[in-house]
Amino acid sequence: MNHVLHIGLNHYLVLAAILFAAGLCTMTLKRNAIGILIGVELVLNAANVNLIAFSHYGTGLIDGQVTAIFVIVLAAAEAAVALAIFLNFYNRLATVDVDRGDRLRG
Amino acid sequence: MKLLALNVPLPPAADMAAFAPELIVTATAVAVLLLPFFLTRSRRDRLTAAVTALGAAAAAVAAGAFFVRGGSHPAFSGLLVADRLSSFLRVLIFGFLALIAVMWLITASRRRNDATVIDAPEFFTLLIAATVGMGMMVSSVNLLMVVVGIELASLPSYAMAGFQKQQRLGAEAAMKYVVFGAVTAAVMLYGVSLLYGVYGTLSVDRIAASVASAGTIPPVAVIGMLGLLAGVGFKISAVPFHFWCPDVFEGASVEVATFLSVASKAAGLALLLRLVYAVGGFAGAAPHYAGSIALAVGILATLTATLGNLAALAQDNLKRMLAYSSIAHAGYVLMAVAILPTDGQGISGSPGAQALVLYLLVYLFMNLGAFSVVALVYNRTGSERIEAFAGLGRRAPLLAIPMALFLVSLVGLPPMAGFAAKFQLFYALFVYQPISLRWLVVVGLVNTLISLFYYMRVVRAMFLQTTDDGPIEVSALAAGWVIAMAVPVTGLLVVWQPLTKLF
Repeated sequence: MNHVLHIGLNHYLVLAAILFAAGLCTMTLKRNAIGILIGVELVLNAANVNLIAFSHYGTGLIDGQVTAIFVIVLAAAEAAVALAIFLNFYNRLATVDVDRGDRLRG
Repeated sequence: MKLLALNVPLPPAADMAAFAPELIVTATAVAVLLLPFFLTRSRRDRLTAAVTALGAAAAAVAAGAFFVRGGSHPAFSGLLVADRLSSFLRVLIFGFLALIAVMWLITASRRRNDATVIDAPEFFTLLIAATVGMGMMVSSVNLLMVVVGIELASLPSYAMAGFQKQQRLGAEAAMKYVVFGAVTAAVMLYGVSLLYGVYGTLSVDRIAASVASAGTIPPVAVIGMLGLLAGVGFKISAVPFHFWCPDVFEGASVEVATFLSVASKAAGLALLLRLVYAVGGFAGAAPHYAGSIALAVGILATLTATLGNLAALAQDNLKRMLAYSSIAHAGYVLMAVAILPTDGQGISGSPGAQALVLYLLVYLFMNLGAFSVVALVYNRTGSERIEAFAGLGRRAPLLAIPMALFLVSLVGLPPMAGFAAKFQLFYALFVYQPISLRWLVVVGLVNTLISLFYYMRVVRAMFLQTTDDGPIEVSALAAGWVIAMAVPVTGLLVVWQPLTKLF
């Protein structure tokens, strides 16, 4: 009973694995570009949970937490660029369905 | 050294000096962004390109000075390293940025309604930012810097792919690029978090030391390394992470495609070389996992080269054909990465690194030349398809003859420099292989034979097909530029021997 209530490293790793799996499913199954971006954010946050949990329980150093802050900044920058590109795509095709981008193929 | 008001410690001056090239191009980016405030609209586009070319050339010279001085300088608490590999590739990448700016002046700046001309300062800021990211990629010895470098190179590249905002193809290319890039970056970061958990550090050298002392790689770390490979494989468009490459090259403008085909791949390949050599070539590394790593890279190289060449056979759009050709060439260079150094030998002077450096140097000039001709023909005919090249030998011999030289060099036939690059690579694969991967030579030769067909298709169209279309007017500047690119593509063969000693 005690080891269930006491939250340790494994709980965080399972949470991160669930987040990663959910994100991977979202990225591969969604055809809406915004949906794919949400999946990407889930996977990035899975990585963040991993980094912080390993940093706290494993090394005891701050480098994992610093990396997590870098990841947050990268995710924000990526979302800004991606949304601008999606908006431009929407202006041209009136949709953000990635399967509608079918002019380039072969 | 401290900032007066904030009391923030600055990195040591020696560290800053080792990264002077990056600082110079970053300052150039700021200058380019501020330039429009002081200039009239009509003059600013050309001046922007000129400032970019000068800044990039200065950075290349600074990196070259470090290369000549030699030695290895770990900087910023072991996040980055300035050694001979990173210095040489920074000369290559920043020098290439200068050449791209000149190419843009000759090709793109003549086009009306080209978004890169209308918004030239913004375009060049993105171009420079991506190049700084690539400079970081080749210098990073810490997984955090690997991630930051890849992202810094990728984010401006997404925007550049969609820079022709008014065109549907540009919008589509940027969409595919950013979706694919974001997914692989996320997987890479999850992989990095797993590696951090297993080894308790993000330092590549310390991870390599842990792997060597354990003598084996646990499954979780293998998953982490595969995630990392997804991120790096995306940058070098290795199969199966190559899907974005032909679409982006076709949808983006020729100058952007040229930039991505050389700089992005060179940075990614050098980064992969560093990572693979750190783990697989560690002094005293247990042979069995070094062998698995070499075999994995060899299989990746085989798939990449073969699929790139086979898909290129079916292409009628020259930009798309050159995209598949660049995938194939990434495959050849991956073969060089598979040549792990023997025990205790560092990156400098190892046969694989020598072959990689020579190949990238030659590839830079022949690809830049071929794409320049495609851009010049596009400017005159409005088409990038192979039909536009019909009868070019008679219509514009000053473009057709150098183009034939570039294509023969891309095949790797003598007497072009491409032959030196390929010969050096296959020779290294055959002779120095401590872990036998000699079958890669056969793969490489068969692939070279396949590539002969699609490159020669263009040559045949230029010289054997006839057309009623009149001659294409070529300015002296454009002809001079193309011929200037043809000089190293033929001349590098003469200095082949010294070039292999260079590294």
